[in-house]
Amino acid sequence: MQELCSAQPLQVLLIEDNSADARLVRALLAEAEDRGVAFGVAWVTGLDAALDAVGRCRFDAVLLDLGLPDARGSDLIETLHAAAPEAAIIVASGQAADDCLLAQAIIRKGAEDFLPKDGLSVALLARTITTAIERRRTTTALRARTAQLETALIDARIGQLSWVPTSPEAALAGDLPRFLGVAVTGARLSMRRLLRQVSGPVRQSLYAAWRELAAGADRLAVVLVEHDRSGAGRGHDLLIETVVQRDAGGRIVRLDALVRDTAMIGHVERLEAEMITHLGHELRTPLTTIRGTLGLLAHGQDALTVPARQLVENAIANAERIDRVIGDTLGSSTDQPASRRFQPRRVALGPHLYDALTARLPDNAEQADRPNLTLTTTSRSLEVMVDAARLRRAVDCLFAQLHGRAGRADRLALEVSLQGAVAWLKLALPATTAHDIEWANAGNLETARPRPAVIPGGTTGLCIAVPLAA
Amino acid sequence: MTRAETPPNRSSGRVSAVASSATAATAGLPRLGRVVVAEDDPDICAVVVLALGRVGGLEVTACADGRAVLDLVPDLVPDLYLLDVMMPEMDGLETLRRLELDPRTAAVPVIFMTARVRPTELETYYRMGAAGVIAKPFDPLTLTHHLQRLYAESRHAEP
Repeated sequence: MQELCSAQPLQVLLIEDNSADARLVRALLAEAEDRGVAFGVAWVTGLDAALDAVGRCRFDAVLLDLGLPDARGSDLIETLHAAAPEAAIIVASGQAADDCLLAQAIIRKGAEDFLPKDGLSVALLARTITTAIERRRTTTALRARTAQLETALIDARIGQLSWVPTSPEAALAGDLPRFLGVAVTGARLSMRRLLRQVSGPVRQSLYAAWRELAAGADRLAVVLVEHDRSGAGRGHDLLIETVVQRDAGGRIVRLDALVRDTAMIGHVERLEAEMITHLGHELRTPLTTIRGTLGLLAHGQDALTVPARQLVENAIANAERIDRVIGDTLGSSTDQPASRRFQPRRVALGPHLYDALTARLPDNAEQADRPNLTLTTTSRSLEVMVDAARLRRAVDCLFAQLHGRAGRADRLALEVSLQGAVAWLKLALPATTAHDIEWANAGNLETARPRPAVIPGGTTGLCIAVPLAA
Repeated sequence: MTRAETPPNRSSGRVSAVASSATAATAGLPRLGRVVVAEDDPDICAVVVLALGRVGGLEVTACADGRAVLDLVPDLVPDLYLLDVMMPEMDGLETLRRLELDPRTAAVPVIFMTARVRPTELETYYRMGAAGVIAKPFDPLTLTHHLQRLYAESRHAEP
């Protein structure tokens, strides 16, 4: 067993009571090293020895014969699964090479794959084990991420508040009483008592929140200070999301609020994004091979009969359908990214942009540095969020070019952010019409006046909606 | 270096496919000839090598990770790098960073080929200097056309 703990890339526990079969498997796995995949193999002949082995060493895969002297049947899989949950279990059996029901039962018990002993080859064995290990690792990683996300979701929920104005009591749940500094052990207390118990600043916050809610807000950001027994306070940025029911006269008849910690919300969102990315990668990697292989098969049409070509095309359509489902489910587009699809359109920038640019230029900017542009109305628009410093540099360069004061560049590039995705706004300056700007990249957003904005990443700049020429 | 239309195995790390013909779809654009591909998944790598080499008529050199890409320099500096993002040893982002630091490869456009195409991920790729992104899964029959287009745009965008 000592060799098990050596630094072999993939550790396999072979559980096989037939010595001839075991020798064959070991020989095949040793031969696999010539193909670039190395296995460290430990061989045991029974369940007790197997449980002892997995208790002492970590295995990537278990190759299991279901007919052992000290145990038999598919229950073996569950036993080993419990003892070595990280290992991919592959059943190798001479019992039923074509027994689909047995294979299904084996997979349902937790095995990753089923290998008939008849016809074992180096390629089949190595590929089955490596893909089973890959699947196992992926599943384990996804489960870990799911558990992490669920924990974060629970942590992010501070509590709930429910209140019906006609009732003398409000219901508080979760950690909300503690955050409000209310010394109650029960879930319900009167609103009057609640307000009497909270500290002055908290009471002011609650009154301010109430005014916002009464005015129709459904999301409030508040800072509450949590006090410990010594009187020391710790600030919490809380997000209060409310569902307010009103009567015909607009009066609140019921209010339910979910209170969450803003810092934890960010954490949850990061975890969600990581999980979606991970899941998308795991699903799309094999799909890429399938889609690509089918595409190449379809390309070699001479080698395919008409029915075969139809089957390949059906398979391509279904692969693309799966990809669309993945995209819809995970919220990530399956289209080729459009950020660099430059589609030149001719526009001129007009009063809106002019006002915005001049308003945001530094005070010490010379009057001559201010652009003088005109606007052409169109049916489509592009929302551009431009970092103020970059915008200033670009405007300076643009002006210099327009007035022939400096430089020979005939185009500019602005880094812009389109709904969170960075793209480049390219400005080309035709020599003949200095005030026309031909530029590229397209958006499909609503026209809006330029406004100050916070660029993703925290810097300030401008959000500009520029109409596009058709 | 061996030349064959097969993906790299995990130990040797790279292999090449030789162009058979120029693609007609690229007429009038800066011509893309040699591409270095980095992709750790051997199955996807096989598809890419065939798509660019046999279908697209490009000269393709395939590597299993970013370090193998860097090892090719200076013997081979292609017209374009096509890099997977998630790879062992050295991922695509680190490979791009190092290629940009090397004056021999700094001007060669880098295109990522990845399933990670959420807006924030695209933002990262472009901020780092990627010339484009090919989303997985892709159509192998149009892959060369997409690369040619991105290559032409990157040449056109140079100051």
